[in-house]
Amino acid sequence: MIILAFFLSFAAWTALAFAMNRHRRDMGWKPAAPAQRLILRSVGGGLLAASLWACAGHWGWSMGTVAWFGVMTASALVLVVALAFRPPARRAS
Amino acid sequence: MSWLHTWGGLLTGWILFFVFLTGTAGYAEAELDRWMRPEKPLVAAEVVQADALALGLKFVQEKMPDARRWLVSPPGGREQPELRYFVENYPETEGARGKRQSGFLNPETGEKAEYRATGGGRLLYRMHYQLHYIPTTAGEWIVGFCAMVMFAALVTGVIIHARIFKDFFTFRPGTGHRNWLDAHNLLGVLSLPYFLMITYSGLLFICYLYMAPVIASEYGWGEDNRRQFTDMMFSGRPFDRNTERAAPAPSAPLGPMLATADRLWGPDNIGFVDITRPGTAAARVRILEGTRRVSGDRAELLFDGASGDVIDAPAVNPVPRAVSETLLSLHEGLFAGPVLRWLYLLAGLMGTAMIGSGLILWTKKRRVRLEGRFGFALVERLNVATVGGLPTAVAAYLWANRLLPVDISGRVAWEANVMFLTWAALAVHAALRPAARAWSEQCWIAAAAFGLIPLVNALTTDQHLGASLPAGQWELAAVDLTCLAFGAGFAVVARAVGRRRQETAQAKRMSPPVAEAAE
Repeated sequence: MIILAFFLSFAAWTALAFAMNRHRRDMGWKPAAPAQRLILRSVGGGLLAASLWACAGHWGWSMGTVAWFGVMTASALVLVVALAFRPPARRAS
Repeated sequence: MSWLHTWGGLLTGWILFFVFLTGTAGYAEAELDRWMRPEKPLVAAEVVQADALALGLKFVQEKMPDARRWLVSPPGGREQPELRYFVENYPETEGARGKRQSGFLNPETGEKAEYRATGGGRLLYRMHYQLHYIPTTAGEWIVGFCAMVMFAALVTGVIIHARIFKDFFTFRPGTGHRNWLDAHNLLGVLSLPYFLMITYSGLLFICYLYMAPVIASEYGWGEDNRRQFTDMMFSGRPFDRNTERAAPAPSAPLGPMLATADRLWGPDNIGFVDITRPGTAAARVRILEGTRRVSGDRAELLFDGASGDVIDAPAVNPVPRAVSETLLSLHEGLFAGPVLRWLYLLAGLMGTAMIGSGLILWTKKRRVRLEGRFGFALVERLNVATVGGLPTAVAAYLWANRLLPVDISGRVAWEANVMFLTWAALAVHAALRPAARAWSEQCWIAAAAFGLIPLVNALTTDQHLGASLPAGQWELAAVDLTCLAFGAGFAVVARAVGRRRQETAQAKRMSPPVAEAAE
C-alpha cells in the first residue's frame, strides 16, 4: 500500500510535468495541445487524490494525510532528479 | 520582500542550519539513544509491560521511599524502549528545589542497568531549541527569533519566487548560480507544507516566552502562574507541584488502577505511572496512555493515591488547545512509524539543505560584485564552517561516544565538547584556507567522519553491522548504514567540488575573456 501510494504520486507528478511544455521540450516532444494538457492535468490531479486514498488505506486518515505530504515530497524529488539527470542521448534531441 | 528574504535569511541562516540539522537528528532520537548505549543487550529481552512496571515501582519504593515524586516508565514501543525511573525528593530547605535523579533499570531483574553516560540523540534534539553552553531561556529566545525570521522568509520566499508552478519540476544542473537558485527553490517548494508546519509549530512551543504578556493577562505574572498555563496547555489540568509533606496515610493498592488503564486502553499500553507525594493523604497517581496520535491526545487517568478513587478529568478539550496539540504533535512526529519517520527525516534534511543552499546562493550571486571585500569573505567562510563543518561536528559527537573512556567524569559534557571543539577547529580551517579549497577539504573530512563510523563502532563494540544485521536489529543497523550513506554522499559532493575547482583554476590560467565564459 505504501509502495502503491508512492507510485501513484510519482505517476501524478509525471503527468503534471508533461503537461508543461518546458519538460516536453526537454524530452524532444511536441508542445501539448490544449486538450492534451487538460487531460494530463486531470489525470495528475486524480492520481494525487488516489495516492491520498492509498495512504489513508495504510495509515488511516489522520496519519495518512501527514504521510501523503511526505510521499508527495519524496516522489516529486525523485522525478526532479530523474528529469535533470536523464540520459544525455535524449537531451541532445 | 526580496530584501527581507535575502538579509533575514542570511543573518539567521547559520543558526537555522544548526537548528534544522540537530532537529532532524532529533527524529532519530530513540535510534541514536540506542546506538549510543552499546552496553544494552543486542536483542532486547521480551518482557511483559506490567511485570517490568512492577519491578520499576518496587525499585523506587525500596531505594527512595521518602521521595516527593516517583515516575516509572515501562518499556513499550519505539518512544520508550527502556524501563526508566525519575525521582524527585522533597526540598531540604524551604523554597529550594528537591534533588532529582533518574536512571535505567534492567526490565527483567529490576536492578540498575549501567550504561555509559551519554547525551544520546536526546542532547542533539535539545540543542535544536535550546542551543548549547548558554542558559536554556537565552537559547529559546534566539531560536524563537530565528524561527520568526524563517517564517517571514518562507512567506516572502513564496512571493518573490513568483513562478512557483512554472518552475515546479525545474532543476538545471551545471549552469552557474542558476542551479543553486533552482536547488534552493525546489527544496523549498517541494516540502513547503512541512516547512510552514514545522516553523509555525516550533514558534508555538515557545510562545510562552515571547507572548508572556498575553499569558500573564489571563494567569498573572511569575513562575508559578506561567507553570499553571503550561500545565493547562500541555496536560489540561494542573500538576501537583506542592512540596510540603502532607499527613501520612496508607496508600491504595496500584493494581486496580493499572487494571482500569488496561481495560480502557488495552494491554501493554501504559506510557508512565507518576505518583506525587506518595504515602500521604495528598497522594496522586497519574497514569498516561502509551499510544501516540496525530492529534497529540494521550488519555490520562488520575487517582487519589490514598483512597484509590478516580479523579474526573476535565471533560472538554477546548478547540484552541486541540489545534495547538495537533500542531505540536505534527512537529515532534512521535506517532510516526518507520516509513513515516524516514519521510520526516527526508523533509528535515531537505530543510537543512534548503537553508544551506540559500546561504551558498548568497555568495554565488555576489561573487563578481563583492569578491575581495571583508563582508563577502566573512559570509563565505562562515558558510564553509557551517554547511561543511557542522555535519562533521555531529559525526564527531558519535565518535566521542565510542572513543571517550567510559569512566571519565563529566562524560556527557565531554561528548558535546568534542562536537563543538571539532566545529571550532573546522571554522579555523575554513578561515585559513582559500574558500574553494576549504569546501572540498571539508567535504572530504565529512565523508571520512561519517564513512568511518561503522568501522569505529566495529572496533570499539560488539554491536557493529556484522552483529546487528544478522540479528535483524534494524534500528541499530540503521544508524551505521545512514552514517555510511552520508559518508558516500559527502564523497560524491567532495569529488564534484574538487572537479569544479580544477575547472575554474584551468579557466583562470587561460585568457581572461575565456575565463569569464567558463564561469
